[in-house]
Amino acid sequence: MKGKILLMLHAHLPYVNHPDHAYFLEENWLFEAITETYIPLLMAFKRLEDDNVPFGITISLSPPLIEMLAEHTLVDKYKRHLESLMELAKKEVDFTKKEPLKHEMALKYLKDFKEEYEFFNKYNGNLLEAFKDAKKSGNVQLITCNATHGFLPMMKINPKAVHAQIAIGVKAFETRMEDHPNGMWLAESGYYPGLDKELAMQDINFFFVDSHGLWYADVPPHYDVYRPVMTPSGVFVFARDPESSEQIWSAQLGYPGDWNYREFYRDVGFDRPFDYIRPYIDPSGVRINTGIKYHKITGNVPLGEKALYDPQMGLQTALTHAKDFVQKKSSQVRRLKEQMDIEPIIVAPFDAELFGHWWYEGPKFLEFFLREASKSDVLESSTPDKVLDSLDDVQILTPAASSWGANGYNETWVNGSNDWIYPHLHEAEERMHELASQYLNASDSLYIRALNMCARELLLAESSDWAFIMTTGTSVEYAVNRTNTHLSRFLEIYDAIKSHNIDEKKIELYEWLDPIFPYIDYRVYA
Amino acid sequence: MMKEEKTIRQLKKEAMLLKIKGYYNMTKSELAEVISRRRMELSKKIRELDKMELDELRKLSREFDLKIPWKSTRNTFIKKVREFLENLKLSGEAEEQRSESPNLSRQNVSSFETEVSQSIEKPSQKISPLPSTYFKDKFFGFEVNPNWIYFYWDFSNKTLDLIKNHLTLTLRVYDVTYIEFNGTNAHRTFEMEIDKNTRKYYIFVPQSGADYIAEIGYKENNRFMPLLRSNLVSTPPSSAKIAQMELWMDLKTRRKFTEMSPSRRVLRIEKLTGLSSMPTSQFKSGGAFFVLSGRRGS
Repeated sequence: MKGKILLMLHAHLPYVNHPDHAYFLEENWLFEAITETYIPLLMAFKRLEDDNVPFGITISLSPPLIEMLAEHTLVDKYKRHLESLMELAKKEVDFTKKEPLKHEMALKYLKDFKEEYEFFNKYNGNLLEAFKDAKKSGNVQLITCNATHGFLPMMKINPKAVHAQIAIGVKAFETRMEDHPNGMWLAESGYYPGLDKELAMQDINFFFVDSHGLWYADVPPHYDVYRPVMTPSGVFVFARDPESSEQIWSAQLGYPGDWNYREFYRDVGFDRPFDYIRPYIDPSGVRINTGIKYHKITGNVPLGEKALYDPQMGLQTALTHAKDFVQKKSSQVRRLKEQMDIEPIIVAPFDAELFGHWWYEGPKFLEFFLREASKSDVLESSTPDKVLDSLDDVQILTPAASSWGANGYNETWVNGSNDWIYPHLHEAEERMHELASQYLNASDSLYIRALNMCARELLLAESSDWAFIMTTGTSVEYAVNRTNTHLSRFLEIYDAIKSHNIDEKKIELYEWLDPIFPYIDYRVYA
Repeated sequence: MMKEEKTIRQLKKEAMLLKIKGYYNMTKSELAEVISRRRMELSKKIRELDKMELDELRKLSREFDLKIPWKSTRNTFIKKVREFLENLKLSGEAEEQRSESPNLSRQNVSSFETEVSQSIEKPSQKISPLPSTYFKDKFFGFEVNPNWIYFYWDFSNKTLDLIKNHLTLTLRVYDVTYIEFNGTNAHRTFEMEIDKNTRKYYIFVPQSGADYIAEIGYKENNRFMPLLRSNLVSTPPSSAKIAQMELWMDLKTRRKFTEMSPSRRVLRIEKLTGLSSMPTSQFKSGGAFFVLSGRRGS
């Protein structure tokens, strides 16, 4: 039996939707990820399928991402965004006529954007349909994530809030993807003993933990992190292989830092004359990244001294790296197989947005890797469902509390920069439970709408993204503002319900501003 | 030529000069938007000045707190208001104008104007500040990592009344690993004095993979009077357990079976952390934590 590699791409962005603004800077997070990561990945899967390449890959679609991809105003905005990118690429083709490398790249951007535009239109702008298509063959397995990517270890004092995060994560997937998710990616891989019971109750068959979640489990794992285990409540657990991540992530040694790859921080949004670029940057005139970039990483030189990017060279490098990765995984499989007497299962989870957004050549690297791996006789890429189907027996143990954050625990989501959010979040979680229990049998539609809106505000405030952003220090004001906004709206609606003074206009406004989970039922908090 | 993005500080200053309300709590993108919208509004007002009635002009001058004598003529009003608005519109813009091309196409500006005016009619969405206390007795602890616990607490009016004559409070942490805690049977008890107005604290605990409970209270005649008890906090383990037996399940029959734990099969290589010399006493106060977690000097 061949050793297996499970690539697991976690696709997630916080819910950013501002229908009250024609343009909103942070909405670009989604637009950039669609153009640079999601569509390129979907197109790569399509090519592999058309070429009959057997492969396996897992994608966790977080519910906020699912909801944004289903939101018409955002989809319309994205369409305009892509149209304006094509327009800019056309201008760039003219602008770069005298610089061959730039010109070649400009033509490539124009061609790529056009193909993406066609792909996008083929699905009438509904990329969820494209994901559904991708999973039909069984090569791509889709799983869900907890509702708004709340960091569950900081929520465990309110079991109802944890329950709701899991339940709504399942429901979002079932509603929008029309299928039950067998697996769940826990936000930030944040696990604590006991959480598995909640997952079992919701028919989640497997989840992922970080390496030390198994290493420090109540009983040592027989095969280290190289075979799935099962918790006493009957849920399967896959653990991250530290080697694979290191090979890709490491700042010094990782593939994405290769000098031939495209440089992320040098962008025509900053390089072009103001009047030329003005229609493609922030309407206020603040320059932003457009996605059109002509330079390569080059080396440890200032941005101004970066050399020009050669797309052929970039592609060649991605192929070389893909072959190297197959080599490394194959020798790891051989080594482990010798020690284990059974085929190892290597789990490699990544943020999906690493591929394409940060690492321009990333989707190509993945495609090359999957093609190369399909030719190997020691290794094959696979999915959790396929692996679990092939298991004869499994070790039962309880993993240790862990996350995939810096240093492996909760420091990123609770520290001096963000701990002020927790007294408010916990209070709101308690109040939500109180409301849901008190109004379990509510029949007045206005009350039901208000209660559902309360649940939405709480869920949106719970996103681990806000705490993360406060820690990392970029876009902090936006994260602080979102936390304050959702919590203060929660308290406002809570008071309105308790004092029987619900303002329908207000509820309507909030429903319009944050139409996430239209199928939500607040009773999940009771 | 590379042009730097405006900093949030610059944008705030512009917003202040443009007399935009509530600019202080806005994000960068909100500021940018509100500033450009404000400029559009001002241009629109300037264009409309000539058509305004005396009453409207008076209202406008009051809105901007302009000291124009009440009985001035319509023309004087127009002139003074226009002068003021032009100045206001230009404030903070000087820097931008230098880099802006003078022949910025008219078409772009007008399409930009339409886009902005479309979003003008948004309902007011004022955010009220979050309360600093909910006046409820609460005391919660959360493991941050194997050696640190974050505690926060809040007091009801009744509790606040109890401590009104105390300057400091006492925080106690009990190691209750594998114990049914009854208040006196902890393995170890740690204690510290803490300022009465403090509402959160990060505590270093020596044992990973252990269970802790904390109490907050005050001292009376050297006796500890607990006010609130926290939830149980389990620090995550930071090393592998030793076990004699493994539990397995045959997935075909769903039967469980046990096996003797083998000596380790897979050679695991863990990350090594180190320094060229031992941390000395200068790191004593908390510094060692940063050295060991590899954060120092990075």
